Amino acid sequence: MSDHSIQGVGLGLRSQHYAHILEHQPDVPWFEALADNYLGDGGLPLYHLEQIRKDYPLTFHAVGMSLGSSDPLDVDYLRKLKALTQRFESAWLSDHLSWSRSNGQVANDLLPMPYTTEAAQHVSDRIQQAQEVLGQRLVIENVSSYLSYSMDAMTEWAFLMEVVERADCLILLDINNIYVSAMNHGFEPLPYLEAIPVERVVEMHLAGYEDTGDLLFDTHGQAVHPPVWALYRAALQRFGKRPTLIEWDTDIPAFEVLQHEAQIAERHQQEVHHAQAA
Amino acid sequence: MLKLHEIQSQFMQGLYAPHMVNAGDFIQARASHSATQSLQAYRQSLIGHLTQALSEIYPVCLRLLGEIFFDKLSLRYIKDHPSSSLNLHDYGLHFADFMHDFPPLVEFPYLPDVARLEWYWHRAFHAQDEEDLQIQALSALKAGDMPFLHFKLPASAHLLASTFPVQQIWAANQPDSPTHSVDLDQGGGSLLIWRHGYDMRIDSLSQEQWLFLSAIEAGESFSSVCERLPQQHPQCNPVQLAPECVAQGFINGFYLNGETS
Ligand SMILES: [Fe+2]
Repeated sequence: MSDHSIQGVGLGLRSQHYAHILEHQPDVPWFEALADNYLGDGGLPLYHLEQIRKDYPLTFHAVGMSLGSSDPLDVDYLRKLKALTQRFESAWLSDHLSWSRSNGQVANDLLPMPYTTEAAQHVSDRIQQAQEVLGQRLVIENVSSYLSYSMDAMTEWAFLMEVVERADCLILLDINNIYVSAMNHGFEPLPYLEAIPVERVVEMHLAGYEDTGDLLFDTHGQAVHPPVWALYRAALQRFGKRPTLIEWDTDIPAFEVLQHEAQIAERHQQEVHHAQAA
Repeated sequence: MLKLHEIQSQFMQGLYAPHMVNAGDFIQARASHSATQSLQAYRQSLIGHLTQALSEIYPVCLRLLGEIFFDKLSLRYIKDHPSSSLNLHDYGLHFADFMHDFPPLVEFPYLPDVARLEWYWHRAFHAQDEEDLQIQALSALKAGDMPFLHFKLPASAHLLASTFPVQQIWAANQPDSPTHSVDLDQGGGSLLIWRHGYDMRIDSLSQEQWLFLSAIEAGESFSSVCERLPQQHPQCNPVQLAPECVAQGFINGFYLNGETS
């Protein structure tokens, strides 16, 4: 699924910026919308998205599939997502390699998977089921994590590989999440990148973490940090120019701040590209 | 070795009722963090997300109570009402009832109705888009249809009756409204919270409109309303109220149904 309408450095669409975007039509190659904000039956969010879609290509990013849960898949939720992706002709739909529901209770958060063969089989079966309901190939994102399970039997990247190979799905590589998990768990981020098959990566995410002193948190409330830019350059060397998205979810700043982050990402893309060509 | 289902059951329980699980059974301790502390980091994150969701749906309650009290109230609510929907927009349905039963809030008896108004506003904001009903559409009805005629309210509409001036309290606590006090003794009234096109609306209803629309909302047929209401409330004239409510947009559809009366 390499949709050529999605190229360059896009921005995460946030309601705070609807008015700015519609008024100024800024030069942004594409927007990524949070699918869960558009699952209502109607109203202004869908109206605004429709207006913005007229001028920009779109990808959808979801947080609620709970692909890693042992609870049954929420088929109703998936059908709503399918209708949304069809209505807005999104280039692709992504969700996370995580779980959120157990015994009917939900943690509206991205909880980490235990890295076991049993869990890898389970989640890859579920991705396949979800792909069948959705009628499209899914793009799966690696999450940040703040703990490890006692029964972990492989590295995070070995787990990710096993899942995507079995499910034959695509990858959204969140560079910030790799860095956050690497620091929290004390592993080297470069071997992670080396393990990821180039052809499966369709998108990369960049965001700012929060350092609480003993843990890095994936809060998406700051500019991208220098070590994440460095890791992004390493990722560009391995994967080439890939559609890249700036995410910002808390303390959302003026639109120009996001554009500035995108310009930095573009500069890194060009520099790496030229260095490789030389 | 714990299976996936077992790990997730314990993890989830550890998020909502941390004293019920032994985190060390499934989470690795680290040099800087015990297993319990690691689980606690996720619990804090979850509470943050759910509190944020409540504060977005209930900004007026937040402003009236202040952040510290609101956060504590949210924490108690989260404990009693774990999230059950993957979509955060569904969270907070029982907040008004919870406030009503929360002893420290007995001094603020109007708060649950303010919360109801905010919940209805939230639902109306995301409700289905609908057209107005053109009154001429009713002329297509035949005489034989009349016993089966039912009207309907907009999908976005919610009726709210309160003994407190909740609309005034709500209006006085909008982000751009200057702070001024609301006289609680002015009494309450009946409201319709709904969306007209993309316009969010809170309409104050007359007693007759309230009685009429409540009957419609309950699924009572127009002929039954016409017979019953004037008997119970002589000031009510449904034949006059119907076109009036259609013109206001409070009624935006009708259907024929012989089963419900
Ligand atoms: Fe991400």
